[in-house]
Amino acid sequence: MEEVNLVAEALKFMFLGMGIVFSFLILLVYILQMQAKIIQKYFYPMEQSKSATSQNNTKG
Amino acid sequence: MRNKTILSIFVFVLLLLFGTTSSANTIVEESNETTQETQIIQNNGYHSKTILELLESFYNKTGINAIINPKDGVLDSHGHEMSHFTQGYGRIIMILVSLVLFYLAIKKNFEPLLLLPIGFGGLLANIPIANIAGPDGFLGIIYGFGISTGLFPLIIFMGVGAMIDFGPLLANPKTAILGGAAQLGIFGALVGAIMLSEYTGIFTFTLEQASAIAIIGGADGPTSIFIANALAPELLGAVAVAAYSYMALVPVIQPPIMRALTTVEERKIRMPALRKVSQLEKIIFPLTVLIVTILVLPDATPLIGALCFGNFARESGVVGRLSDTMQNALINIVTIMLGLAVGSKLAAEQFLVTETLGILIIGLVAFSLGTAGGVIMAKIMNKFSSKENQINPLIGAAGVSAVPMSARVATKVGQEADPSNILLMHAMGPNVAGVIGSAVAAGVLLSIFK
Repeated sequence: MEEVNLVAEALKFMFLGMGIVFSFLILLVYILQMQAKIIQKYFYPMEQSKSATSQNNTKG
Repeated sequence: MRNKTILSIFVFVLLLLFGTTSSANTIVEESNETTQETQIIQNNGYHSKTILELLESFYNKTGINAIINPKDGVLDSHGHEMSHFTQGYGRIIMILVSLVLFYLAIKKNFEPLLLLPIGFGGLLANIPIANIAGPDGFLGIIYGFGISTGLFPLIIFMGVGAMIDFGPLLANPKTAILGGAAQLGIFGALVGAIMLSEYTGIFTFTLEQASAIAIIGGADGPTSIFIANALAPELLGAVAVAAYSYMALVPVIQPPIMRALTTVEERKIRMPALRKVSQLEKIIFPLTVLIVTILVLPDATPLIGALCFGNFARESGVVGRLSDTMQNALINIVTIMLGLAVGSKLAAEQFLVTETLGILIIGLVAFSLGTAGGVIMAKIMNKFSSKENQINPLIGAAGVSAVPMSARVATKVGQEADPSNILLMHAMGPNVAGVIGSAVAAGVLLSIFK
């Protein structure tokens, strides 16, 4: 079995892990911002009437 | 008068009937027993015992004897032979550890919903002879179907998803970055654990074990259990106890770090009010998260998928009953079984080792690093954003999940500097992003070792 430098290995895990966590969340942030823009632009009027009816339902 | 006589005759007949049937039953049973007994006598050569012999053989089966006189060849729940120490004093120490957990849960109110069942599971698992944590004992059975399959943490995650309102995150998505930075706790602790075992020689952790310990820094009980079970099941008991204890200690561990890393001015930063998030955005959110996870990191989909399902059921608004069950009844049932089963791993031979001490130390380091990571990231982000969009660095500390405790801690520390500055909703953003972040970190670790 080859000798493995565990510390170097752990540091590599750290770079990989933090890199993926960050890129995942940054990707998510951009997608969410885009999604919010699209929804506010195209669906917002419909959305408002929808939430109004659902509020009525919960009250009734 | 006549009625009474009729009644008494009726009762008499009834008694007679039941009497005959039951005595008939006993006769049948007796004859069965006698045949069985004769068989046993033929097989084992049963001989008549004096009352002294009976008492002695009974004493040999008592807990007192099992603890005072450990025997060779007693097997633990994994089928390994137990040392005399773990059979005797080990059990007593572990029962004391369980009592300490009760104290923390009842008197100190530290995560009582988990520490109480875990403590009781530990108590039951350390009963000699009964072997409750063994593969045929009831704790062993619960452990077998719930934890070694990874099922319980996922069901808990479903309930957590149904409980969380992702609105604050949707209103200010960039706070998600803080939830990512707090995962530094996990990976920093991983490096720390390996360095400890390489350079000090007190502890010896493999990479798998170090990863399972480091995930405590995610401040997320179910994720810790999920990963510990997948990578280092032998450490599960200590990891789970450390994770939940430190989560309970969030209000003690975090504030000094937060104060040390921020100035009073920074703590006073006010953040603009969050915009209103539409229902549609909330419904689409779990699907978006799931799609990104599927594309980037399928290894995290069991955890994220369960979380998204719970949240989808919550926000869809049409399955209120299911969402209600997930966040109340289901999560409570699973918490009971999860706690007991995790507690069953508090056996002396696994817990009373130097590694446990290492786990407690590394867990604490992981928590502190995660808190620091979130706070520092918020300060870095402030350097790059405009005057109006400044982030109060305290909410970075909420990036270690521990929903909603760490968000409350951020609010409290913020109010110490400026009592009128309520940070709670702002802190919920990084807080729930931390849940996703630690699930992603868990997925990365799984993907490395799979």
